[in-house]
Amino acid sequence: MPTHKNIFKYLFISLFFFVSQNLHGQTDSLRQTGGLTIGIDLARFLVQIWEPVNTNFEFSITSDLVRSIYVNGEGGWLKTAFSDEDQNYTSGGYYLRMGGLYNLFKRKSQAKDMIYIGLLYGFSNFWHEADQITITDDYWGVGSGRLDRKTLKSNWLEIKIGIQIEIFKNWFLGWAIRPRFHLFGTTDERLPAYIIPGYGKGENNVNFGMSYYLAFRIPYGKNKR
Amino acid sequence: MKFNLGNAIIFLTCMVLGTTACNINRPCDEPTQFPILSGFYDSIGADTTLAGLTIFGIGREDSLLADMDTLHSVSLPLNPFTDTSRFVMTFGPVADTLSFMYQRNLRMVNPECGFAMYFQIETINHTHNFIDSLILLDQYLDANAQEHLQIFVH
Repeated sequence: MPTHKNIFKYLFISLFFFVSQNLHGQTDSLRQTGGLTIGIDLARFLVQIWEPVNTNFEFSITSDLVRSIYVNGEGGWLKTAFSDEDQNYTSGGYYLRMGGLYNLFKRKSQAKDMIYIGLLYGFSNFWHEADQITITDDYWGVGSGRLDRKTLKSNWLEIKIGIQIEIFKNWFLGWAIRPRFHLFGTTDERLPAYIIPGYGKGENNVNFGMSYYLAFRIPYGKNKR
Repeated sequence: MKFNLGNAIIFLTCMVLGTTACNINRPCDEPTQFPILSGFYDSIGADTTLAGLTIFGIGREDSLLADMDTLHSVSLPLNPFTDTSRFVMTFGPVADTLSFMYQRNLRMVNPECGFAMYFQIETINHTHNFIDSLILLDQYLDANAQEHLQIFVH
């Protein structure tokens, strides 16, 4: 039975091979333009199938800065809720990430494919509340209560490693793996946030995320590279 | 760059495989109750067994945790609704009372398991009829420890 580690390994190797194959044979005679790439994270929609996430939308904007370096901004909204006869917990909020990406490929042509590594600063402003909390103890019995809404903030650093492949002219698919490291924020002493929008599990100091982007590039100007 | 259908299929397949590998829909398989795992020891520190031990929590006198049992260890469940739990242990003709003062920390374990109360023990008091002393090995109760408390008896 394949392990997660093996699946990630095959995923990385196959996509690396895919990019390498497509970069081979690019002509150097074409002029390159700068551009603004706007994308949405398709993984946010897939995650809603099996995670207790009601709404999660995330977009990304990337723009050329200087040679091989890009400015990357991301933003999103997440609302999560789970309830049954014993519990009713909801949380939601927005998140922003901002940072830079470095393209590991030396671009000599019009090729816009990338294998990149980047560093982003993340921020989330969110709330959570529990209309019903039930604790069951085999000896002491059952008790219930509720927690009113509280607004919280969280800040983290994120490493972003990924690829971007042009599937049609100016249309891209890409994925990224993204370890996240919690920096600081406000906490709820009554109950730690279960999910921090854009960061992941609230109780973890390190989280691991993944994105699959569909993006469109709006070319502008002439690139002097 | 020309569109290559084969490569796109590889990409999308890996995308689906990668996504499903990250997330598994699972039932509740996490512990949600964290009793104090306690072992009995004699005065020289060797494991010992107590025969005819009766234990109940004060407030739940109608429900015995041990009823004239022969035990070398016992799980003492802290009350998740108060900051103090007291237990009476009767061993033969004598009885001792253990009092635990603790912090309660509410957490969402996961959507499948719901909420659970975690404990951090701050103070333990006891009477000295057959219990000589106590050693608290771990003030944070979790499901990983083999033993949280050592109870030394005369």
